[in-house]
Amino acid sequence: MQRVFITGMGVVSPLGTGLSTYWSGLKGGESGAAPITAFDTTGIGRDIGCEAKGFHVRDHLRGTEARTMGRASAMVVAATRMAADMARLKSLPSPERTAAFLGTTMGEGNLLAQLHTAWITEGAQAVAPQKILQYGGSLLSIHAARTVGAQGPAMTLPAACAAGNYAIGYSADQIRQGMVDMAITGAAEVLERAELAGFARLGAVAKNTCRPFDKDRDGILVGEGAAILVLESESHMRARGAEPLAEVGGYGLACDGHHVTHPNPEGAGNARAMGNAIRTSGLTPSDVDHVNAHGTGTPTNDPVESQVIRKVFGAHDVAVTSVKSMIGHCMGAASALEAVACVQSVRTGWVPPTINHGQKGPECDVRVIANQAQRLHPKVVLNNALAFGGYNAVVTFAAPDVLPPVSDRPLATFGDDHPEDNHPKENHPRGDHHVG
Amino acid sequence: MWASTTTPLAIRSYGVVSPVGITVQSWNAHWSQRGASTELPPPTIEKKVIEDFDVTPYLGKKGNRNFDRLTQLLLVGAEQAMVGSGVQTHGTNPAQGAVAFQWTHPWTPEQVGVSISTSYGSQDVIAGASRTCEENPRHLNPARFPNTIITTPAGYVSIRHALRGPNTTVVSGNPGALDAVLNARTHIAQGRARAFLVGGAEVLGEALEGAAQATGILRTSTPGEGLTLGEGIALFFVDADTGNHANNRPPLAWITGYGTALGPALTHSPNPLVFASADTVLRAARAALCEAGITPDQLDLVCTSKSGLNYIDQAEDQALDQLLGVCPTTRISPKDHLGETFGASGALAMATALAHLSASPPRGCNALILSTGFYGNTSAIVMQTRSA
Repeated sequence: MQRVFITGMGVVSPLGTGLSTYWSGLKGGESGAAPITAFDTTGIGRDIGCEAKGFHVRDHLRGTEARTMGRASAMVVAATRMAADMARLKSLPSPERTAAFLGTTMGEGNLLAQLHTAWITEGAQAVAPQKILQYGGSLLSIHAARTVGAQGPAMTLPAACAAGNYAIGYSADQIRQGMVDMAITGAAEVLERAELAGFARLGAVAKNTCRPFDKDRDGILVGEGAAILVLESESHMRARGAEPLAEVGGYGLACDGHHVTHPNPEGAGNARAMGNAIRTSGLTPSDVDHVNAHGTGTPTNDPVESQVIRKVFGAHDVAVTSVKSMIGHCMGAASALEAVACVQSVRTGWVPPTINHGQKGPECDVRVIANQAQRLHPKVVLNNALAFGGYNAVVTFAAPDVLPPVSDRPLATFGDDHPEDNHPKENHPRGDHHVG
Repeated sequence: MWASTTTPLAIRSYGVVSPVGITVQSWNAHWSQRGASTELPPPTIEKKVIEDFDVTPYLGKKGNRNFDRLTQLLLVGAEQAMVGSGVQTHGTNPAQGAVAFQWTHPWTPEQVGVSISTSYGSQDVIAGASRTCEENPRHLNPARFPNTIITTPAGYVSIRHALRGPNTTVVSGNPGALDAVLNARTHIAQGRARAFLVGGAEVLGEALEGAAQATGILRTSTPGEGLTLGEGIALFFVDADTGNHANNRPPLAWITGYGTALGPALTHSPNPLVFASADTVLRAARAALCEAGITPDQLDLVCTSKSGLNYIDQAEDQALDQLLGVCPTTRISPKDHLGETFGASGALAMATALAHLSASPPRGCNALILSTGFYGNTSAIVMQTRSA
């Protein structure tokens, strides 16, 4: 069992393309929110989102490449190239032992919408076959693999809003277990009309501003982007002379098994996942310096998440921030973009702010880093992610020399929460959702 | 640690909902009438649909309004596998008017996870949402909107059976269901679960059929090249306990090996993305056999993923000719019966292998299951009954 390190990162985000642009935007408390231009928002009742407006496919892909892939895949390829450059990965030492595990919610959701629109408005003959071939969700991981020449496992984990952490945690698992030496991982999401309309119909979209943990919070702003990380085993990294940016610590995963959009009100699954991420890092809660929260800014998510943080960390007043206040909720890509923020916090010592934060919500009893970045020198950062379906995925990131040897880290526990009822739940069609 | 990453997974039970049977009994009865590949009928051009499927006898009348077809099939298959494993039994909940489940096993809900492959999810719901959005976004049904998210059907499985271990949906094209096995095995090895419901699901619908038609990949004549579309689900209850589990049910079989490979990019092809290679198939198969600790001559059965697409079929044929040499191993192609079920195909192939290995008399004890995707990716698993 080996340590797993991050050696490269690439980003396409609402704050700009490239790691330095993204990070300086986060640190500076910039907002990526603006009127949506990618599609017509008429009739949806919400028109503000966080688009990756600075990302132009032709700036990053050759003409033939651009013609053969959708926007999400293009973001993946661009971010993978940036990450590979940062990792100084010119050629793979072991292609067959290099994996690509990517997360997403809808994959090429906008492409699907375009196909449907053509079909509906102009008939089947208007549907371009070459566009259909660009649609499959598995293509995100295939494109990432092909970008660096990987020939090992290639898998897309569409774990909705926790997909980034699913992909990163799974990659670390496979490296630690010796299945592969290296993984290209992360997630991507494209802003899409039905997605905005659907979340708006659920009453989960903010009118203008995302205000996590604020008393006036009124929902998410939808966003888009991609973040790719290069993960590798310690021996692989050292053999090729690469430098570690941070270590991937523990990974906690649990399902609420409660309701498809409604969180377990006690946050039992999230607490179990969070606890296990810390435990399998070989740490205790007091060792964690900062929580990069799921922090959607919905009325329901933030109180439950705050309650879980209090339950897990107890008297340890851990610093909490939600970068969704700046980049919106990038759905499947969210926790991958947030993972990059976690690594940057560990590298630079800065914790990015939760912007738009006025007065803390009475049910959000956590120490929010409000409006301005703080230099807290975190050594261990926890990335929390939740998703529709009751999925909870939590990953920790640490400075390269902080965590105990892998052999000294315990395995996950199952917790002590038992089902009081196991009958099917009625759907709650409106309100009271956590946006995963 | 509960298990190493290569510890065999015991299959305790399974559930199947398919065009050739919507119970395990009818599934096995179908295959018991077929001995080997030579007895299979030639592929047809008619899609393989689960006809007249009524979910009411299985899920009751209430609380199912927002379950789309994929979710319905998955829930029926999950019930078969969960009850078949002995971990849960049927109960009734008169207040709900629906079937509920009682835990009859020392494992807790936190110890059982879900790992399901699908390529396209509830695509008709997704298409319907797009259509509604095109017409009037305010008419989107918020209760149905979550079904547009590909993980939602697997989430409903966890909710209905109160399973609180890891829940993962895997999308890796046709090999997805075999990759879902790796996913389950990984989480068991990491101590996040002791058992999993694992498999795959795919449904036919207007959107998928229209897309397949537009791309020209469908079979239009017999004989002839092209896919015949199908639908179905198969789910397996697996764990890594070394002996009989607490309910004293012996395993039906073990999954003892897994391998996967992705072919290198083709640089001089007009469509460099879509291809299959014998080398990649061979690499995945050999990895699975190596992990299982058996040699090709010990294989009794190979379930191929031949579907009627020549580029995949030829790659698998070449790889198997090279792997098996003169070995008289039976090769069967479940898709001849079931059609192309994409993300479910590997799971249905596993169920086909299980039906063959557990037939009376059994047709061997070692099976290799192959699943080759459209983009140069292949996964393979070895299933063994160890009865011989």
